[in-house]
Amino acid sequence: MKADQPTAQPDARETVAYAEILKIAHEEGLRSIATELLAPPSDDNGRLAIVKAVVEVEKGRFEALGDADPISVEERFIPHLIRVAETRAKARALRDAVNCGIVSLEELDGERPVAPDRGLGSGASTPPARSSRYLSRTAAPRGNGDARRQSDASSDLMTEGQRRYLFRLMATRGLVKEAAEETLKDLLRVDALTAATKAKASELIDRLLKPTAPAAGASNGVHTAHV
Amino acid sequence: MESTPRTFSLSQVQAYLACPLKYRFQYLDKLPKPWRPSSLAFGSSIHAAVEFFHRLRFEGQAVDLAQVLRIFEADWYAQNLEQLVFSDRESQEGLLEKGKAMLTIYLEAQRGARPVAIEQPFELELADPETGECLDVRLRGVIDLVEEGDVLVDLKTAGRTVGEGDLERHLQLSTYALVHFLLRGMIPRLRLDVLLKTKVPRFERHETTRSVEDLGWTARLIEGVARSIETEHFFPNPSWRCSECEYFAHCQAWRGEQSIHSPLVSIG
Repeated sequence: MKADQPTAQPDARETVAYAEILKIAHEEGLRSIATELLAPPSDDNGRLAIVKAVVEVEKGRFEALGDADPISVEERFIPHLIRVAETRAKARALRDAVNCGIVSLEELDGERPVAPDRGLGSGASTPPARSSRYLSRTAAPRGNGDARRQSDASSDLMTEGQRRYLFRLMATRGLVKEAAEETLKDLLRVDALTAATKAKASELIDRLLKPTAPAAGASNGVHTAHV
Repeated sequence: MESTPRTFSLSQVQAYLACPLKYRFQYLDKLPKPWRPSSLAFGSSIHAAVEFFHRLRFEGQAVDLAQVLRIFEADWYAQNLEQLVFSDRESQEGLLEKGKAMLTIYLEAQRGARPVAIEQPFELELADPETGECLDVRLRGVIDLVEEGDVLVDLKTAGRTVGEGDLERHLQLSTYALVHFLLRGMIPRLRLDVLLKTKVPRFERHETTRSVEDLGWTARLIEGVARSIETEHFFPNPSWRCSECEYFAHCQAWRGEQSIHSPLVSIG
């Protein structure tokens, strides 16, 4: 197999390094990066940290959220959840700003990628494959950085902190109890909330927190968005 | 040996002091909790609604009681989607109404000082404030509320009023003061806001402060807890809390020190 061919491994995923996006953003006229801690990690919310990043480049302003909790980071990063969430938020905002559709490594789990097995035998030294300006294709991490997550499927499910946060977001739209539950099931496309994944919940929180246009309605003081 | 000191949260310190064996089950063995006491969930929902309220005030927005109550209702509903264990005198619906009543009197009492920070996180290396000695422990936590004039506030829901002794030894307030002193070099004013879950809900405010000696005592206590955890001293602390402990069955099966690297027991 040629080194620049995409790997055919089913668990392969495309990633781009934060440093690479930042470099490109600077090249494209990065003006500022600002962050705001929206949810500090606490025992009440499952130690979930949520940070908002606002990136300004010449062509406009881009916002994104980043989250981190003890399950979504390597163990050594657990004491630094706010910083991880901040890096993830900045990475996402920067990706939007530089029109990069590929997820950054830091947005996933912070684990360093393992070089893909290219069938070249041990000792083969091959530079990472690149199919675009941003892309480096790596195998999903195979290390034991978070063995708990790999061995326990339940850790991929929506956390209690996420569920509560989603219900509170629904409440800011006037939806409570069963009405909120049904709406969330629809939005998460599940029959029961217990089946919703952490990733989907995170994605939905992100969507719900995206600011509305000024004419769209009064602010709720925390976050506004239309479903 | 690790090159950097281990980080402990204030919650971990409090959990260890309450029961070292429960600390081990929860933080080291990571045993799943088969249920949660409704009292914990209830306090947490009150806290979420209060945080929402203060965030509105912080942003200078008009505060609407109905909106705050809706946040509480939503959070309480979400928590009840998992199994909570209620005492004989309590129910989901009863606590919903009680929570609304408590939040109503809480909001009525909030006049004057605007918050300058809500849920303010901290993380720092602990030092003895009397000697300056580095204690080789990192501590993290969150300060519920900071008001103008360096007033650090902790909010609690409780079943009974707070006594003078409780206030003087309140670890959370002492730690807030210690952190403030280490970061800013001054002792703050402290306040404990207590929402009482009594038949007719009440709200109490207790103001206090700490001396540098108090802060030295607190720093050494946290250091002691950290060392006890690092040297794996885990034993049960029988108390009134046992009756609502999620790990009661595991505790009953406990028979002395065992490796922390494998789950103690398997409860079917």
